Amino acid sequence: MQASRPVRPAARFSSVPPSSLAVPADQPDGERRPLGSGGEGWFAYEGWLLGGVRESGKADQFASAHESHHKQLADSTAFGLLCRALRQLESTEAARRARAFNRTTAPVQEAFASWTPATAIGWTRNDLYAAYPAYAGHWDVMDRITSLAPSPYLAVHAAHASARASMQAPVIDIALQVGLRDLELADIPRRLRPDHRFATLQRHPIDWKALVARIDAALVADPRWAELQSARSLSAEMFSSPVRTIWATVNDTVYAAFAEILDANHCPTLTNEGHHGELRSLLAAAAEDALPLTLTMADPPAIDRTTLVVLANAESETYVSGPLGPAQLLPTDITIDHMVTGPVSPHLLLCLRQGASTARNFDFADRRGPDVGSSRAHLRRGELDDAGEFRVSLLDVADQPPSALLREDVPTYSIVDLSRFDTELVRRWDGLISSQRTALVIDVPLAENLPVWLANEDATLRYAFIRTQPQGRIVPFLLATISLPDVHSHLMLRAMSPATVRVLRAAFDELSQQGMQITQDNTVVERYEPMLGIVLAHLAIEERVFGIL
Amino acid sequence: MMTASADLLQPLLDAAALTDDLAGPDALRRLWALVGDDDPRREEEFLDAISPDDAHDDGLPLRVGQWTIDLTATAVRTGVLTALVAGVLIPHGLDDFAIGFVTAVLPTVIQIERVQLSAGDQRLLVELRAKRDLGSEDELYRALPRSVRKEINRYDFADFLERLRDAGFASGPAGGPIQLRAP
Repeated sequence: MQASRPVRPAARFSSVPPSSLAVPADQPDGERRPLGSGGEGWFAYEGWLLGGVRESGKADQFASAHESHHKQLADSTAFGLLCRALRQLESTEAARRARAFNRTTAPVQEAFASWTPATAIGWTRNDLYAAYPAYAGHWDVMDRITSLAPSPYLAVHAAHASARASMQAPVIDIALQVGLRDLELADIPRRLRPDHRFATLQRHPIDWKALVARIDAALVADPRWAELQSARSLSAEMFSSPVRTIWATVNDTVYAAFAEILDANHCPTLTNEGHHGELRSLLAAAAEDALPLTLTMADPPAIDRTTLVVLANAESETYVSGPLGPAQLLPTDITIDHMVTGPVSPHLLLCLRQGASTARNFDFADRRGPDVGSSRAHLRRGELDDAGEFRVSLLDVADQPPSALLREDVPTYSIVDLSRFDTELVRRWDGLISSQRTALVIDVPLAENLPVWLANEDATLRYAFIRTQPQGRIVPFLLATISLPDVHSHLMLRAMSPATVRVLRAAFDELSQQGMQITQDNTVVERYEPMLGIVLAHLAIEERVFGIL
Repeated sequence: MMTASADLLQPLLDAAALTDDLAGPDALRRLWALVGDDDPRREEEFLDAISPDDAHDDGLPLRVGQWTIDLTATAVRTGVLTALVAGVLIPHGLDDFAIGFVTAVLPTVIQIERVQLSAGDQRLLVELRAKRDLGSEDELYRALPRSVRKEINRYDFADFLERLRDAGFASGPAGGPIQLRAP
């Protein structure tokens, strides 16, 4: 199996059912933490960083879902996509302009990403205040809209529809008339800005009686609607696959009601899926002007789009398990003998990684980090230094023949970034890249690649999750193989936050129910021993930053 | 009557028991209460308008802690006072505008003459006067600081001036001060 690095995850988000995947409702209550003690996150246009995670409690679940909701809202609306496009122009000026645009989305984004995940995990306002005091005010703002809804199910719809309608302004035409390179926030009147539109929705409450009548009319023959509408509390099943058609109908109807309020108040609004057309115009114009945008339109996949969208969203996380550890690049006159390392048992560890992956994972005392990026073959050794601190040493072996690294006394294991794994690389390191001695780090989006890998009907993704906790840091891993009858591929793995583990687990379950060949298989763990234990130890102990580059 | 706008703030800080140099959102909410608007959206707008720039870095941060502003800095005091006055002005026919918008453009257009608390219910009373001819929209737009001009739409600004005129603000001999009271 080979994987090529696709372009950035595509912008094909639409209105995604909220919480069945992003936040399963069946999690036990986390331990109550002292005030302000959750993980910290940072959503920056394309994806997010998540750090400070100390336990798999609800606060970290909230942090992960909060960022995921930001991304969902940005990717499923014209204004959000415009912010991304402005930021991708990559100049100081463009960053300033993107910041100004992004700031007008903040009241909508924060209200949506505070209220919605908090509600999905069963948090009250007080729970949210205890973990993230600065977000209780944003919760209040969305609560003002959702508390008028006649049921918890419709309250969730109201949060989605009000936030998306606020961000679904026809702004791309103006952007193209002015030119993306010259566009200033001043070119956008306030009736097209998310903050003003969201405020308008708060001043003009929806007529829920009329709206419920419209939904009743649309779903008149469906008894499940009455069940959803009468449920007193939320559960994951209310947003799961079997009732997803109901989600779509209700979503369309509630969205239309909010859009009508905006239109009536001089705030023109795109249709529910109107951002697709806007993005198409934007990309066509960008291509004409040779603008360096990495936004893309994706072909609709054959599998239920929603699940892959949720998976892609979860994969936008960059998980930071702790502060970077010290590392050094050794002089090239160091012998290969010197690189024999632990843990578990003596071995050599060959790392064939993307330069940026090496550079972002270590604190290079001699500031030679950037040089590390230019060489992409290292032997790696981890050891405790005199101060009792764990230190990583790298030796550049890019010019060495494979035979120099094959020894009789100790085995040589390899960690290879999946994006670099191809026949040429296997040939270059002939004899070293066997499936029993090599683990592949999944640094490409599964959401993009699973449909390709599993296009062969005989192929199956077998996976397991395993949790490691080196020095108190929590580092769970996905382990996976693509197996054909009688053949098992190399082991693939990726570390992620505990919250993202839950999202992936739920997404795999759903894709499997939809007929994709995905199956949980805990024998994956033993099949790759002893290599697995050694590789996991190196990754979890020595590295800190995990996710797609 | 005090003249320097930054000094106009001190009695309000005293009334809201803001005694520390550094103030975070919770303390500043007490200050906002003097304006009397209990709409959580307006309160968030107020906090957003006066929060430090680095609270709005590249992207949308999720922070455990709170930001603070330094109430001894003149520019900060002026900003806080302007945002409070915006909160008093908005209910008088400018509901369609956000606190941040009004805070950004007000200093170019309106002079804050006097600020005090009503004796009974401690609500904010302000006395405001038009600084310039409110009819010359283009000229006034050009008078906005460059950084503000990059973010404020000129038609929105013209709309804002119209609402000020509707509220009775005028320039020239007719342009006496106008007294407004927080609701």
